[in-house]
Amino acid sequence: MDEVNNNGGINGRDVEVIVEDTQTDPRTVTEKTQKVIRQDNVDVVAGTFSSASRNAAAPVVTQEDTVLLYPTFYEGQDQENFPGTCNDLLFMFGIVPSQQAAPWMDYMTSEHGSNFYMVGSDYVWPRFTNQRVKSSLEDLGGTVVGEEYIPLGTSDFGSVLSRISNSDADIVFGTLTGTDTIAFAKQFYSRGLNEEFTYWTVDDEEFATQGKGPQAAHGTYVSFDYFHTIDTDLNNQFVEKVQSEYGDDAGMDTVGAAMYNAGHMFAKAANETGSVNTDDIISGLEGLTHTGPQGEVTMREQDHQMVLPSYLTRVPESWSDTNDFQGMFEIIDHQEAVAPATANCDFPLGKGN
Amino acid sequence: MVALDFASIISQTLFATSILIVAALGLAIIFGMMGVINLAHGALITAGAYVAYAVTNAGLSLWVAFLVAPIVVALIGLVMERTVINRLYDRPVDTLLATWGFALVIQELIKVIFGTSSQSVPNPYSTPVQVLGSNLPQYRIFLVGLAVALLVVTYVTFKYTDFGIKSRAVIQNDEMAGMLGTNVRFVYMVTFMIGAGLAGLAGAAVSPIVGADPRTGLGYLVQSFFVVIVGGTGQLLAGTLGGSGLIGGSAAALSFVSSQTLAQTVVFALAIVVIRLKPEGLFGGQ
Repeated sequence: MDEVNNNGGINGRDVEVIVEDTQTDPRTVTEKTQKVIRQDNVDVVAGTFSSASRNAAAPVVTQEDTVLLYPTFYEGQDQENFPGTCNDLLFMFGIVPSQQAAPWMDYMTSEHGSNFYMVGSDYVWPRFTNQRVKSSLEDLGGTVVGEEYIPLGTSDFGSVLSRISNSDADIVFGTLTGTDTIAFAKQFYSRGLNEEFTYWTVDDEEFATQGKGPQAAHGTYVSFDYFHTIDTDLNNQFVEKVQSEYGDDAGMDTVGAAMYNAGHMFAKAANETGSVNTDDIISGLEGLTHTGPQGEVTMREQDHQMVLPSYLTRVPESWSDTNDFQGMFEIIDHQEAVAPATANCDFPLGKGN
Repeated sequence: MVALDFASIISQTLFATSILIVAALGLAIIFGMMGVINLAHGALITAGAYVAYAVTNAGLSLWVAFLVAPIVVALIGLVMERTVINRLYDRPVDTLLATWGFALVIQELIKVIFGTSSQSVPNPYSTPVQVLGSNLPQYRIFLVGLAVALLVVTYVTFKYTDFGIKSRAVIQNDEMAGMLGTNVRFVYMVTFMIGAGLAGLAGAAVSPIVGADPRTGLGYLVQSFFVVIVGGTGQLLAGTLGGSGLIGGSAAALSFVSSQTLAQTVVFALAIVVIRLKPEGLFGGQ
């Protein structure tokens, strides 16, 4: 936001940022969202990390008629979850499964084989992602040889790893999250399974991979719209700015980049329409194209879902220092302007009020 | 596909049991013996994991952390005991609130010092070994040995050494023990420190397999309480062994024939049945 202010702010006025910690707890999210809207009179709300938090904030922004900018990669929208999704007031800046995994199915299956073993945390994002992956796998003639969902907070993966070991999988496809993905990778490695199987995860951005450490992360494939290591002028500037602010070993990930885009695109939308009224922000953001650290991105008008690039990376054996975000991922390939599957919403999007 | 791979089932059951023994032993002393409902047990484990991270990140070996973590965490225990816990030995229910307060302080301090994201602790035995045709992680085998060693050493300490006998005497009847010339405050303090130190050691021990995260210890907190209650409070050897086998081992074994979610549900239901039929725990009341 300092960047926006240095460029003259929005319609000549400086932007002020009010930060609240929701602790990813839905009840706190509701309270804090109410607080920033009613007490601080903000024009727009940005954030909420998990889908559950977003679903908790949604009724509040709906009631108060305020726009919410959501930065996290997630499972996509469905009318069932209204007002948490399919809401005219919500804009989704994060990547969804149809952009994150689907573009690389062809490459991964032809390089490493088409038998997939799916391991995910037991909640909506992994299940939904796997549904998507399964359907594109079937189109490619591949097979799912195992599919398991593990309760959040599991620290022991012994039996799952034994089953993987005895399976004829080629690729282990991971949608574990939080600390579980780290414990899984460490145990996967210490049983030597990394020698037999290719591990591909769509969760482990820079900070989770840092948590796994070089030993356990080597050779793992990861796909997202953004990586710290992307070599574009804009990203190099962005990373430099982040590091001059937070220290040389500060890293950036997909969620941070999405938040950065959200801030700039909001400012652009408000400047173009000349107002920060909710309806003007909505019309300003819809269809807006912007050049972010990852390349060109567009907020799709129909379902408020970002058209983003998609990158496939691999953790190279040369990565040895956990604080080295630059060398953590090696970009295998990327695709520009990958359109997400159309959200499962009733169009046009409603506000529900 | 192999239907049931017995070598795997046996080894995984053993691994899960041993890790719970290591994790629960500190609580078996502080809660099981002393009666302090230590909700900071998880946070102490987390602190141990972060000591392991700090030590290995400084370029030292994990074995140094095995030495440093129990000392650092025992000192945290010393602060807890001297400032608050020693006033609450006759009000066990209040220890619940006090220790939870400490848990929050420790957890938030860790976030302030180390940040909120997970940190990695390298595994000293990272390559697997072949045992009876299946690949087993060496470090987990080491943990089985560690669990057995810790269990035996702790048991012998409290059963046969001079300090152990004094400690049990003080816990049973501190007035009488005091009159017989035992330094009651000192014995309480050291016993609490031993429990805390064991939690710190547990944190260092699990860190190569789960990493260090501000919430690392939380999962072990709940499981450790189940271990101590199901095994029987005050039953250091048999209780910890039996409780860990029932809570950790049977969940691991069951997860070979059902989903992990179902296995955990069945085990916790089983634990409730045990407590209903034998409120004093599997090995309690002898």
